[in-house]
Amino acid sequence: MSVKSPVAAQENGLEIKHYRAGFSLFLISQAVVFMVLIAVRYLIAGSKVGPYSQWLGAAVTVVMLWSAIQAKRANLAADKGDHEAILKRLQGAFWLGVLAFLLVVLTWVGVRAGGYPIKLPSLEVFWVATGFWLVYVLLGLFVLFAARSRGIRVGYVPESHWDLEASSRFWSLVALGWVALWVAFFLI
Amino acid sequence: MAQPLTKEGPDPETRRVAPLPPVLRGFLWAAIGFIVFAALAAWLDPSRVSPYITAVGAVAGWFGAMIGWLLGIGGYEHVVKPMMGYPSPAVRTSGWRRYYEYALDHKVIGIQYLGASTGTFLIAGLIAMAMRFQLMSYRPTLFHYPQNYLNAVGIHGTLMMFTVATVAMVGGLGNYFVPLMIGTRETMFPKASGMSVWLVPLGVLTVAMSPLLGQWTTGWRGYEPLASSDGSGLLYYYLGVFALTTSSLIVAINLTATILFKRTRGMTWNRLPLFAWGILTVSLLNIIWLPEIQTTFVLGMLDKVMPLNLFNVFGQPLGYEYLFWLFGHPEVYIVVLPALAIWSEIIPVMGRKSLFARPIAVLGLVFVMLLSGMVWAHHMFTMMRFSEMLPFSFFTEMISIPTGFAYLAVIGTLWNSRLRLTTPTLLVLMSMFNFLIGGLTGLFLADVPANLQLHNTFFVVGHFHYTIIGGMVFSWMAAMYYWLPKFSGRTYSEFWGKLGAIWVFVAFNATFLNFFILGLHGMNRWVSVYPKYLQPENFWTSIAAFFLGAGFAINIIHIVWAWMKGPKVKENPWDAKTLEWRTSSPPPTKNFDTLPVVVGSFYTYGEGVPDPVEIPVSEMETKGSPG
Repeated sequence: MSVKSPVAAQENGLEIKHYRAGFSLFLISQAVVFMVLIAVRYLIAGSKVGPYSQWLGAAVTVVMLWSAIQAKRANLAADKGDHEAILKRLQGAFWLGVLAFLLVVLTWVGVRAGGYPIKLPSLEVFWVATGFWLVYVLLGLFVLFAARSRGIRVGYVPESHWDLEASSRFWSLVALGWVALWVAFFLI
Repeated sequence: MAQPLTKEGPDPETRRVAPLPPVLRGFLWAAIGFIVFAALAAWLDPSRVSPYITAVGAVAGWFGAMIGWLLGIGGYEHVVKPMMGYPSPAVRTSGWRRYYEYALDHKVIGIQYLGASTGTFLIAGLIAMAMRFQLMSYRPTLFHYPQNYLNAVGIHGTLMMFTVATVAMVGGLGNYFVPLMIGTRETMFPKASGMSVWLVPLGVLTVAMSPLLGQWTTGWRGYEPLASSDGSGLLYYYLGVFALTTSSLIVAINLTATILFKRTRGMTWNRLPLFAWGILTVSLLNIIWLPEIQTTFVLGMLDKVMPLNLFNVFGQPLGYEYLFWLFGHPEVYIVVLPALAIWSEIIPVMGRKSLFARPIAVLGLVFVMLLSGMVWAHHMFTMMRFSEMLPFSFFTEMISIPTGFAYLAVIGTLWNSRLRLTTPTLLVLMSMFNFLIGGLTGLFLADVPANLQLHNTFFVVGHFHYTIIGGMVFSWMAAMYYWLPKFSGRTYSEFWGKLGAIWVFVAFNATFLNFFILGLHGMNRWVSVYPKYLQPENFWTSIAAFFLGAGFAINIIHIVWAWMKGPKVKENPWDAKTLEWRTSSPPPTKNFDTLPVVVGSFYTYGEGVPDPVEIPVSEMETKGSPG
């Protein structure tokens, strides 16, 4: 959408702020999911940390934060109208997300290979919490893919790229959700 | 005949005629989605001797069906493809077909929600009639096994709580009226809203058909550890509720953002209509508590299909109860707050008298919202330490104070007013009476010694039916009669309206006052058979319940008749001041030709009180923003 006058630009800016705030309500609602998962983790397993790889957990954290930063940079590139950078950053965020997904699956495989009982309380809550998170990753990857497809098809202009910004914000929630799970399940 | 289409996307010419009507295509795609996802589950199943439909396959298939249904109903063209840069097709804006396909108009969506919740009310009501038929006798008659009866109770409760009570006022009336009342042309997220409504039929069908997978006996609460030993039908209870709560969550986010950011000029917080306040407070509760219960239910579902030991006897069954009631009690206020707001909306109009203590009425809604999360454990007094009971008992009794503010505002308004005793007025007064009984008996139940005696008896059932049916459903009916001229440009028959109101009021009280007596005499909940000495009371209670069911049916038939064929009426028959009455009836697609500007209170009446609304002449002034 092109903006043709200062008044229209101001209105567009106000509208984007409203979308941003409205979308934050959605993000807050989804943050509740992670809060419940963490509460259940302590309810079921106390403060016991399960026998999952600390290294892989840290690796997922680094990869996801890197991925979220890439998505954020795509949004910043859109502010400047840098079309090439938008697509490149979104692609980077997407593949890093795929990598994080696979690393969590690898963590699961590692636990199974270690021969630990599946119904160990600390593992039960780990399966379900990380399983929840993987669903969010799949949704987030679809959203990043859609944002990139839209970028290729119709492009983004500095004045109006709400679709891209929403994707970036959702992906940030997924990353922060992992960080919260990582702290609760791996560290404390 | 071709229907007009709105130009929504950059290239509406690309719209193609769907080979199937959207609902039929939704069913077809849902079936395909089920088959594909269930097949994937069967393929991934390490046990090669499993049948095609296993518990895991049924869950996976359901998710496939949900995706297929939403895409088929219109999500594919209207949501997914535009996300990827394809143009949005046009949306039908007139004709009856628009109610059976994807829509962007909040009024169409509101009517879709109202239709879904009314249909579900009838289904849940029929199940209630079957339950009461069983309870006419102390021996098994209709339900030959207790599990059948308990499953019926569970489906009745689930449909009533998650579809009727939560959806009708917020998804239905909220979607239709809030944008009109705050002076905007659309909601904040119309695309999401257009999708969310189609989760309701999916959720209702899922819950209603759940016994096909096996009986479940937990009631609407899915209590553990009972749930662990229940049949796989419980999985579809979890999934049905997941669909229904997702729908309500989207409504909550959409309407909250709309109220926050789409108000017309001059619509300050002090001037915001009471109904919009009610919807805002409910929506804030929904945004917090619906994801909480969704997560809990998905965990409960995983507990059954994995299987894990999260909440069964080897895990933490009490933990499930905590998580359930954390949502469960705010849910009561999610249901009731819009009803309290409706009272303050209708009575000043009918009494032609300024709303008494408007700020107190608003504060009542806000404090009920705030306190509602601090009372939940009173549902669990029988499984708590005494030391833990006191704070929850205290806050439960405290919440009656802000609830009383709603009464204060309405009674103050009624005082010395020249009340027009119309059908909506009558229903509001009845709702206030019923909710008062529900509230007073709630105080008994908040009291620990009484609670320990009355727990799990019909006294509790009577209490919550007085709050939810007596409070919310009566208010919903009041709102439907009040806004009927706005929906349709037609009105109802006062004779039939009043007859219907009196009928349901008498039958309701004849039914549910008996529940208190039955409870005090020792009639337990969750039983289809009971000691013989309780039969006479149960028999007459059931007779009253059948009259109640007939009364609701009469009201629904009357409202539908009035909507379609009732006499035409002037555009503002009540001389109300709120903005929804400042446009034609039924309202045009974009609500207002020129956005109104609010310059005063909607609830001030008297000689010389200026009109609270100005209509700008210049088109330049039609861009609204919060004042």
